Amino acid sequence: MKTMVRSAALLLAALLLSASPVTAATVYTGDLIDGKKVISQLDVNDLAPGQVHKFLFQGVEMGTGQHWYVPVMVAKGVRSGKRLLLVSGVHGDELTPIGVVQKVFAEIDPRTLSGAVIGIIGSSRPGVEHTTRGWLWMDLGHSQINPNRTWPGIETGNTVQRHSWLLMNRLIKGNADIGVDIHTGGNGIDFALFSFTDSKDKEALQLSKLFPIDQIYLHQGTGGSLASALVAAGIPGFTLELGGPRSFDPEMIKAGVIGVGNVLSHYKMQDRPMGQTAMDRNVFIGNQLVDLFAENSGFTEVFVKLNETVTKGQKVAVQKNAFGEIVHEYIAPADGRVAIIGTDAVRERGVDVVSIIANSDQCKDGSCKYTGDE
Amino acid sequence: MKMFSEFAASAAVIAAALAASSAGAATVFTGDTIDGKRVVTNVDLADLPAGKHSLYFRGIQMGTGQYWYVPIVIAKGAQPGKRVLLTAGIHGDEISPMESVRQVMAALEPATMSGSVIAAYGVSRASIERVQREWPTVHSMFNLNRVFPGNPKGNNPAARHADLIWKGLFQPNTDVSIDFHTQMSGSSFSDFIYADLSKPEVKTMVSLFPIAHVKNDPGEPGTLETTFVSAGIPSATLELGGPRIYDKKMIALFTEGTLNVLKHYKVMPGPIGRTAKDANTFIGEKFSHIRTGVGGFLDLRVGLNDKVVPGQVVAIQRNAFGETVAEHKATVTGEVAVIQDDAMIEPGGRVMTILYNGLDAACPSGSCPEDEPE
Repeated sequence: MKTMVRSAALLLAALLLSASPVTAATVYTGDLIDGKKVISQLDVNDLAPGQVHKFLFQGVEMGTGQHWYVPVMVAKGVRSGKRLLLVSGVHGDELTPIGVVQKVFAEIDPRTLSGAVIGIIGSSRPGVEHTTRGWLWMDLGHSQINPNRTWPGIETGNTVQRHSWLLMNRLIKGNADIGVDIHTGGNGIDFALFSFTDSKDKEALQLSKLFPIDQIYLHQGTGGSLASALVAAGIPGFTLELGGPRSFDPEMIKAGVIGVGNVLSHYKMQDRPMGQTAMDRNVFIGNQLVDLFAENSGFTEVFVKLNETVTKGQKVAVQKNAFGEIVHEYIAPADGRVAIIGTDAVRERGVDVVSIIANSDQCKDGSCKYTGDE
Repeated sequence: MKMFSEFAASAAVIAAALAASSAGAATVFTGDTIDGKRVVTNVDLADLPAGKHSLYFRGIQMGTGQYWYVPIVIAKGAQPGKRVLLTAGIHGDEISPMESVRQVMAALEPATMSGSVIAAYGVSRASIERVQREWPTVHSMFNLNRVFPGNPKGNNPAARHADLIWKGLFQPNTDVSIDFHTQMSGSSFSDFIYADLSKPEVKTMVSLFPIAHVKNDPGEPGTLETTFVSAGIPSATLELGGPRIYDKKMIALFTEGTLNVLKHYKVMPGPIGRTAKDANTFIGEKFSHIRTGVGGFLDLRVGLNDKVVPGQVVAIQRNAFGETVAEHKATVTGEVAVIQDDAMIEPGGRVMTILYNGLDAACPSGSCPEDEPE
């Protein structure tokens, strides 16, 4: 048995060598896990057309030296065309994005596809396994690193930085022409149908508008986010926010899948009609995300709903102590729409109570940076 | 490429299945390899050729469906003989055991061996990656050393993991078991063994370790030790000092003792080294746990292995202002087997544990309640 596996691996290596004398070829480690091939580098050009390919991408090592493996699917079209990257689970407690990628691949027919769709399912491996936003790292005890502030990664950096580097350099670059990094709010907050879109990249805005979302936040990018790293690498991309964490939200999954379908239609990757887009939903394009962070700690009642229009001076939330006495009232500082609501009733100082997407003259044309945590 | 590897994989599965049907239990290779090492779900030592084998035992799944893999090394001798199981990392913050087992395995030469030694490194996969005692799930934590022999229908992954490795590796392949531990984070053990000395073979085995302390007890339900002993297989729980680190002194003592056991059983040749006789091992029947009723900062007045007498002040506790809030006294004549190293201690916390024999000053009639669980 052993010799058979070995000879198969050797044959595989020989075939690879003969088939791809160029630099970036798909690298099969020779390992199989649950019958799926392990790769340490992807080259979509290598893959047979008209098929969906499933791999485990060898990510960074855990503390003991075993690797984390990221499930990757590639729908390789039969004609050349755009190559779309869909990423889920950069934050491990965000499940709806995983649902979107799985549904896209369940429905896609690569025999009618031009180009390719690359799906990453749960990139922050330990975060997904523990349903945590951060990646638990063992430095000085336990600390949580936000993976979406580590892109494009550092080859010799810490565990999370290196994992991002591996994904960026051995999976994404050279294989993706456009990208969508799909997120939700974290534990304790819900997002509207929302995008973080880099105003420096016109195609990123175009891409955002193809999704049936209610709000587009144009800004100068968020340092360390995957979307910003994609844009910096010349890959138009944006961050899509689809509701709240932990669960599969069927409506939100549907919105994500419709958006991906629209991308396929727009870029002529598939011959299909355009579905509902942001423009059909009277999208609000803002240049400011005004976060109302908790000014006190206590039990909080939010009076507004996601995507509700609010006016400057409107009371949006009230915070009370254990005795029911009001400790703070939250007032909308600008006209806009509700982008985020705090869902956990206990709100500690500094956490988000309500965020409002708005427009201000100082941030005209998305000229302001986003420095928040979302 | 796909064809070849799939052929190899299915050939391995078919071969394994054929072997299984003829022999009942057989080594089952899944056909997967990880880092070039073959994955097994069941081991039958009889199937393996003499020599050293490094394998991954496939344990329980994670939440996403990927598996945890336990590294195992098997040294199978050229001649038949006793089959000894060495387990490390059933608690994830206990690291000296890993190195002690590695040193034992490094000393083995299969050509000169009669019988086999199986080493399982980091059995509690999820917790070892977090350097934490218990197996973390999304919602809770579980002590793997209280759930053996496991339960295939258990309500947590630790119980199911224990079932898989008990049935697939431990139970069918073990004549003698040695389970390596340390104290948990925040505390340290002396060089210590838990054993049921009413079992003659266990008593002989334990007498081969040149260490300070043995506690004679029937063991806690759900530990690997008691699970083996109740199955009629001799086993002992070794405690190699403190957690998290490599403690070279502890590693040396327990490696020497384990090699003595292997020599005693003629699994490997060579003269017996230092034993309990040389170390003047103190065998205790009981534990006196000194617990605190108040929070504060701990000033220990005795160290591990020190002899104490009733009324002796063994620790002082102070509040933030430096005022003494508790004075902890020994109530028995015995030796210090466990200390809390963390300087801060919460109400209910264990300051230290005294190993002793005979009457307890706190209940002079000799009617002290059963030991509390360690």
